[in-house]
Amino acid sequence: MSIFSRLTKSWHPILAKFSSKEKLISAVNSSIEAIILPLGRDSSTWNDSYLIGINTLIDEATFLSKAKVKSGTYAGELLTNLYNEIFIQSLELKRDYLDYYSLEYDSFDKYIRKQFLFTPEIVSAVNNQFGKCCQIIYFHPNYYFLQEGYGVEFLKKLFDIKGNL
Amino acid sequence: MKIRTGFVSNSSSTSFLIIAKEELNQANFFELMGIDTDSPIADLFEQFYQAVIQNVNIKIDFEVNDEQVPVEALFEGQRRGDISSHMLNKVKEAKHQGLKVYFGMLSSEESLIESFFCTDSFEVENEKIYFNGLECVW
Repeated sequence: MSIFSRLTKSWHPILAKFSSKEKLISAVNSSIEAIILPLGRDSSTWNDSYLIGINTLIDEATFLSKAKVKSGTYAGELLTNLYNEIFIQSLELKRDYLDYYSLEYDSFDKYIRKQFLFTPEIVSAVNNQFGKCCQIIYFHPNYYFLQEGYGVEFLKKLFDIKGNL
Repeated sequence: MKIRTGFVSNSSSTSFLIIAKEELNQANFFELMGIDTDSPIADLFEQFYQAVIQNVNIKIDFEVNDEQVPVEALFEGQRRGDISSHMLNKVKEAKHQGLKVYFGMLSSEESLIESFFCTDSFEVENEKIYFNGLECVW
């Protein structure tokens, strides 16, 4: 299933930046750069959470291809579920801010500080990436193995992060 | 009355069954799982493979096994409920075809990775290997 069949412009406004399918494909084929910020354990869910900043849109096929897993297999299903958790089910903070919360907060850093109570260090780190990132995703993983230190290492390998954006 | 706050949890171990035409190794395990050996996340499946290999309790090669011994007798001593009728039927088919059978348990008390796969429920098969992790249900 392509990103276009699952994400329509009506509820995924960031796609509106792309006027045609060709432009999206061009975007996902460019180099992907990302930043992973571990936020520690959420006191309400007892799970680790992360902020993921990424410089381009990634569709499911590209995500699976970069992970070198085959669609329709156990690893493929695992990565498809992870793709959905990150890119479909998570809050996308940059989009939410630009579309809704910019009326309430005059800057992105105020929005994430007051709305999510992130620490000043996290607010500063994310705010510095605002212009570079296409998406800033607030990710709460369901997969148990994405907890603790292994989760950060796994996500860094998955997004091929050798340094920050 | 005492009130406990925070987590109350129990540990678990869950069974798995693997049937293979050839000796199980990391290469054919990766092929079954659908991941390339040079995948950036190969480590996850390497640890899964190691957990499986280290926790095989029963290994039967039906090419050389005594045909007179009923399949049920091969699993005597296993915890009741760990081997389902579906698993037993698969083992009977494996016996008929002279395949290799691996039966074992994963634990939720071990590593993060083993705990994850212990609690996942799946059944996967390709032309070389059948892996039943269906009993992995909490």
